[in-house]
Amino acid sequence: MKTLVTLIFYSLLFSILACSQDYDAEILSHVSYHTASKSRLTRMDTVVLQINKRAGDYNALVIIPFTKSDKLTIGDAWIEDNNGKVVRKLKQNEIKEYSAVSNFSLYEDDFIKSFELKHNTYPYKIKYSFKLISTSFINIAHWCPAYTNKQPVRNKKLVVSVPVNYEIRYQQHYVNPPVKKIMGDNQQLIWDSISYVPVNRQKDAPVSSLKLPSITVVPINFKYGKQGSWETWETFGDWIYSLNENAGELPDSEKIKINQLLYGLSDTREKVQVLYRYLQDYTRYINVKIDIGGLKSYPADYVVKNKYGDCKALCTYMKAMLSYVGILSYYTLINSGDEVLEIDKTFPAQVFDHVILTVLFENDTVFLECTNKNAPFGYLGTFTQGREAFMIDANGKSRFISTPSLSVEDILCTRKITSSITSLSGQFSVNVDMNLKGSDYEIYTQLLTNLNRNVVEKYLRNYVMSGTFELLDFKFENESRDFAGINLNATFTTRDIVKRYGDKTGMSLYPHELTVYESPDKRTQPIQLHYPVSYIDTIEYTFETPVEESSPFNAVSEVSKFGHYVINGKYADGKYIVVKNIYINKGYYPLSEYEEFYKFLINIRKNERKNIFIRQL
Amino acid sequence: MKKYILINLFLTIVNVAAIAQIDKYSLQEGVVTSYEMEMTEYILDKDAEAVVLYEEGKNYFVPNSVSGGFLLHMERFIKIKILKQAGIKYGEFEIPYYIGGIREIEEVYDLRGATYNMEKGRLEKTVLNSKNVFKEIVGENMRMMKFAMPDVREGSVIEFKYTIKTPYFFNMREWQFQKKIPVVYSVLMYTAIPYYEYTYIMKGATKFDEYNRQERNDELRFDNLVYREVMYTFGMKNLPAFKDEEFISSPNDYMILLNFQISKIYSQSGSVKEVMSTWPKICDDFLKDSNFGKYIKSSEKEGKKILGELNLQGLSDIDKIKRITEYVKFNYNWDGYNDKYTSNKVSAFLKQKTGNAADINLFLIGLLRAAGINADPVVLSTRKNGTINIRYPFSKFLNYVIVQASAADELYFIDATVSALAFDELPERCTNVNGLIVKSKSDEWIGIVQNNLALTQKTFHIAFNETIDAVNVDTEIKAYSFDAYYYRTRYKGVEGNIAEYLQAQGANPIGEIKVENYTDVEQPIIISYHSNAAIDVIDDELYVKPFLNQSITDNIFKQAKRTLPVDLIYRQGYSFSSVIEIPKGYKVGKLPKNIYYNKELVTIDYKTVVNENTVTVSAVFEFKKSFYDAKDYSLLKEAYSTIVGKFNEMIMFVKDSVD
Repeated sequence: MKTLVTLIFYSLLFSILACSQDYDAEILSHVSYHTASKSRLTRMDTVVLQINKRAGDYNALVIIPFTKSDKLTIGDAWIEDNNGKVVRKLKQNEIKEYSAVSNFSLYEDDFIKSFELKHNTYPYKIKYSFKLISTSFINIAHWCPAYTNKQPVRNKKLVVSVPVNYEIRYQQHYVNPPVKKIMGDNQQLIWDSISYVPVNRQKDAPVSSLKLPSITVVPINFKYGKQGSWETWETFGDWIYSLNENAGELPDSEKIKINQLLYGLSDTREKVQVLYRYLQDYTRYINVKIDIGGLKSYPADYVVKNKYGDCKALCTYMKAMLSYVGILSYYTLINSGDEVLEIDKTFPAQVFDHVILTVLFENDTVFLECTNKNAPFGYLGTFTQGREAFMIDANGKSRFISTPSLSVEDILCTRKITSSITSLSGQFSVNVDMNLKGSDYEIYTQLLTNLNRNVVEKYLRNYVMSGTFELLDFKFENESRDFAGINLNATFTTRDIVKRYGDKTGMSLYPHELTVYESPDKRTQPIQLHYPVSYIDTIEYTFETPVEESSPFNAVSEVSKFGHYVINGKYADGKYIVVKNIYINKGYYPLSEYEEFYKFLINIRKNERKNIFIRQL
Repeated sequence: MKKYILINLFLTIVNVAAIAQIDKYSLQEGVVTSYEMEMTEYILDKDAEAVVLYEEGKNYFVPNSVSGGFLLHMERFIKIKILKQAGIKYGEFEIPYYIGGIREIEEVYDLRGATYNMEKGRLEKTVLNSKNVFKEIVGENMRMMKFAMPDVREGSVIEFKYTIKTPYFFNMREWQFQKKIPVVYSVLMYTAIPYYEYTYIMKGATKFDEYNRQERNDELRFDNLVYREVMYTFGMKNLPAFKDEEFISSPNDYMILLNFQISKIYSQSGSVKEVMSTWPKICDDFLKDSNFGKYIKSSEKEGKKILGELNLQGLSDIDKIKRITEYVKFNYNWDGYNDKYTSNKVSAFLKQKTGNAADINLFLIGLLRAAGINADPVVLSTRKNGTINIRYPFSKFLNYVIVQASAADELYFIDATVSALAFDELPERCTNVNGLIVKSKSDEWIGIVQNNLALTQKTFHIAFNETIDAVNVDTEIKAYSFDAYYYRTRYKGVEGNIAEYLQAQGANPIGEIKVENYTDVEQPIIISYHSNAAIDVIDDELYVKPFLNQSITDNIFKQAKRTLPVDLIYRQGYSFSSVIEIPKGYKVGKLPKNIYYNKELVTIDYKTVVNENTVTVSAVFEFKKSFYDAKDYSLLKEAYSTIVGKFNEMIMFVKDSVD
């Protein structure tokens, strides 16, 4: 019996060891106490971090963020070796404090305190604690390990303690509900023994498929700048409205300018368009976050004076201009980025990171991206397309509204590639004429308007063509300011794409480099594509010497629920013309459909890499 | 002939026009000319997104009655014209400054600026509001003043001015004449006083467009000092935008700038303190320094205790070096900071297990010496820090230290900050630079070059599938030296990382990917996997790329013109070989021609051999050097173009007409 117990013990020990040794570092325990009252939130954390191997040493740099109005104290911290012996204690003067300004900001009054406790015998433990006091807050607790986080959490405990008459609301995902306790005048919610094992997010897998544990606790009523409530989405909207209520005042000088700009115009849409252009031409995006500036907008007057602002300030300014001429518009919260995240309507929360402006016309709704100096009027692009946004209005009238999705026409890119083959060996020139839309249009416009031509050229040299191509010249053209597309015409010389094999000559089909995914045996997560991809190519080879097709073109036409790939080609009158049509649908594809999806893409890839052959006469 | 003269004349006119331009700009703060406001492009560079119209610096000393000494003041005034939307970013500024102790602080004062715009024929001026100037804490002793100029748009002219006051005379800021945008006129005026002597070092150019030395007539008095100032003026005109090119060490090596180093301090009593030194003296100073020479000595003492655990008895010198280096690499962490001086005492380093480059490498020297190995520090300037000019002996330019150890008459450079490299392989930052060997009274410089060839070998075994329309492939990648480092840092022990990488390269591994020697950094890393690939079938003929798009498919040299030398950091090489099984019923139709080229710059060797049932194709490409002159660029490009073509040629199989 004893042997059996010992065996079990050892096998358990080994499995634990094996398990822990797999990770470079892990959080053995993390206990957080969040104690809230109306005007004060105290958070006390105790963390035991174990570094298992040298590769995990970077975790020994502990960083704790705070904001200017917070008070952060770091308590005792030390290293323990595997036998529990204290190896080294942290001295207070080893704690460093720096600004933490994100790379998209000019300034933020956010800071970090950091310290490092490293050892060279593995595994070792770092134990530390800290206390963070905030006097204004809209969340009591929010815990959700980021999927980029590679350390498992073995035991997380979260205790929220508030007075019994203090109303709160909470939500948890992939975590058991809390134990509730009343202790005197206080109520406690205790989530215990939560664990998290890191998941690798595969390409285009929706975050929701990762099943990350999370806990969010909010006060029903709070004061953050203004009195606010998480009771409903509408009360949240009222609060955002009240924060920015008096931000729309414009100085007289600005009013005169607006009058001049709109002189003689009567059409509302036209007026909005003129003012939007004025905003684009005269202001720029500069983010400065101070105090509660993460949620409260600078007043319109700030933009008038500086001619810059962040998304909130620029929207507030645009809204103020419209309001001055009697056009109603709505400050609209949205979550930006390529990825469209689903919003949980049952739990009002601050899930947005961007603001746009909504203008409701009689039969039409226009969304204005106020931070982009080049966006066509009403164009949202991949950044904010096809998702729900929260339109702020007074008196409980805030509501969700959907932004339009990018359609096939919005993203269709065409290429016409003309190669004139003067001789079947040696150098010849290639002209590429591209009409770019969707994300390609956005990238190129961004390049063109932000970088020197020299840098743009470097980009084109490296990314438009692969192989030995020499960029001779290029030109970008934009049909009109209100057209969401750009034309690029570039001329290269090359010798790579045509190769001789005996009496035959093989020529490239200028393959598109589509997203590469893992093979089905390695895929474990579903796929979500948030907008379609579509290319139509016309590839034209002209020959100076007489040639003939080596064999008839092997046309392909593949249509599936994931999209289509059609290619056909023909040689006639000294020209070989190939037309390709690639379309990849947007949508959610569960794991069960992955193999089919993968085959579809691999087929495109194989066909793209094929050559066409001609024979010299 | 006539044509020639005409062209020449035209060029002259353009030049005159360009130079004459300077008169069209105002050099005065608060004054803009109508030309400045109306210009829509810069005549000498039509692509310029912005242009510095004028930049002026004034460095001078002001007596400080509180401390009884002098403070160095550095004024800077800059005026920029924004020409394109891409130039708007030049309306944001950062001014770094240093804070030492309580009194020893640099101060930025008199910061003011304005933006000028033409609005419907009227000149509008918007002044920078001091409320919109922020201070960021960027390091323990570093602060950054940050601001965005208001109302900046295409067509704006912006100007701003500030002064830095500093007690740190060694911290006279370098003057960057050249920038990423063109500069019409840049001038620095430096007023010297007889107590501090500076040496100035010019980079990127050989002479100034404007230079003047003028002794002031009036005598100045401060306490019991009576002295005269001397004003120096350094000016440059019509500088083109600096274009960042691929394969260069640091833009700082090529941009035109002026660097000031304090070389002598004269005291009131008349004695002279030499600040500019000699290299032998600098070596001696290093050896005496508690954060350098003395640290090595303490490390040597500590080493005697540590070495016992390393079982060095009976090992050859080279094996001792390897084992000790490995010990340091795997027990101590680099904190990411370059330095030639240690940040701590040895005792603290031993406790914290982490330190800067000097903490780690000087400690290693101590251990090596304790084991009876000859080892010396080699101080250097990292690639980003810029090339060192040996003519100017200022230790300030050096920012890093590595180890030179010897065993069996061989010398090895060692840097223990990076554990994923073999013991004698150096990270990029200290490759292709000059280093000073720190020995007493030494003046010995050495070129730190990596001799190891960064080599990637790929071997493919290719067999046709049953239906003869695709191939099954077994691939083995063997990477040496820096290429191994590259794969190791990508892999990080996780199969998914390497799978992702291979996929991005166009290979589609099926099933397990085997990785060998991941942790054994002295050995090449080996990656093997199975995959399948498409082929071209035309008229019963089969076309196979022997290296399946996994060789070199893109030319890394894409520029039409090259003006700067090509720094590849280390010597690189590729070797591909493929064994293709000839499918039943087929024979080899056409084979690519063999190539052999072996000259001063590169080697190319491409061969095919037909055996009974297989075809073997092998291809080798090697750079002979790691550093090439700009004039070699076209040849390198040509060579690369050849291999991109050659290495991707197809092997053709035709039906074997037995009947």
